[in-house]
Amino acid sequence: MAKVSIDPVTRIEGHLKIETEIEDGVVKDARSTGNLFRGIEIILRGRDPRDAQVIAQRICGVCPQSHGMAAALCLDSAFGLGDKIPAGRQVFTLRGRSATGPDGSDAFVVVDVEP
Amino acid sequence: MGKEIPLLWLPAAACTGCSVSLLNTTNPSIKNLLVDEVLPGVHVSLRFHPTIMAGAGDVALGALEETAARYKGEYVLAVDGAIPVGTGAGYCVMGERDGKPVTMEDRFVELAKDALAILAVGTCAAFGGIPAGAPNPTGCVPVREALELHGIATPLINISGCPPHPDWFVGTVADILLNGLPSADALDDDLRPKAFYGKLIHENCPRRASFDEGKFAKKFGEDGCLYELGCKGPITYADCPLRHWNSGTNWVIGAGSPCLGCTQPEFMSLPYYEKVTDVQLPAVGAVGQSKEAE
Repeated sequence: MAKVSIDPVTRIEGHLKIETEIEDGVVKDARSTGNLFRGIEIILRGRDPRDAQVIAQRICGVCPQSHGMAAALCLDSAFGLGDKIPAGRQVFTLRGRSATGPDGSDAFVVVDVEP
Repeated sequence: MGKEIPLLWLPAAACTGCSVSLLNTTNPSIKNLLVDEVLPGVHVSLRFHPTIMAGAGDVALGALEETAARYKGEYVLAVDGAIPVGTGAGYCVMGERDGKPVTMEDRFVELAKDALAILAVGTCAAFGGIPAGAPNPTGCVPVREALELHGIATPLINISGCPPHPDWFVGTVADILLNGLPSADALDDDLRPKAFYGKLIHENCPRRASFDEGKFAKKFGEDGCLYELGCKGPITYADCPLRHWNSGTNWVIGAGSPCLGCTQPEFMSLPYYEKVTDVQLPAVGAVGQSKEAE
């Protein structure tokens, strides 16, 4: 039984370790470890809820939009607006910049959805 | 190839956004920056950057440690992310030694003491930023504080921003290559290059006339100054209004959204969509406040 550990795994966002156990050239067991913890959820507690979609984007600098969008949708629900967004058309403008690019150009994104 | 400047990029408690922003550099392109000569006869050799390097695991760490040993006192260390220290140090680790994980604090100390200079890239590295937001659950400190904590005197330049504009990083590196390390009067009190952080957003804001006339947007999408919607332009030092982002396409206030103050130490301590009141506005602020009272 050989153990192979890759730490850090590169070409990804973040700090990742992969440990594998190999027998006769076949991986028998594998384990992954996130090697960074920041506690974004703890940091969000007690803040103005509108800040969440800004801070959630910083969970990952490679895919910030998806985290910002998820936070904006959660806020819509929390504010009781989740079902008031016009049918077939989602306008992510409620928090000013739900999914913002570095130049702010997608601060007012209108997504058309087929009915 | 001429002279090589080895660069090591250490990711601490970061989100990689600073690296992604740097990869967007257009003049020069990232290829020009990393492969070509930045100045005639001078080449930046990026020896370690986990997000973009081909090697992984021991190969990657080998390059890091080998470079640090071979180019003692000659390499530049770029740090993105704040550094969890003390009892929090275990919240960020990279690689193992003798079967035990090596904390980022230990790696930072090893690399920082023998570096030619340190570039703290992004607001987390420069001021603590996101992970150091209250209640700072992992005990994160900015690079400056980590250096003081360990009594390291290596020269430090802060390139703040969440993320920083690629030009701010590339420009700072080019300045070092051209003129050597910046003198103390080329940096502000927060150790940021005045060339990029010398003026308030407010001073060059295209909506500044609205502020002076007391015309304030009350809702997103309205014309007028965004101060009442929480814009941090009056307290934020950066050249975004002139430089713009995405190779000059646009910037945040140009898209109708308030400045978040991301280059400032206050980035995480002020609510983004509340008016700035508890800070000393520059003298110009008095104009807007008197108009508002009318």
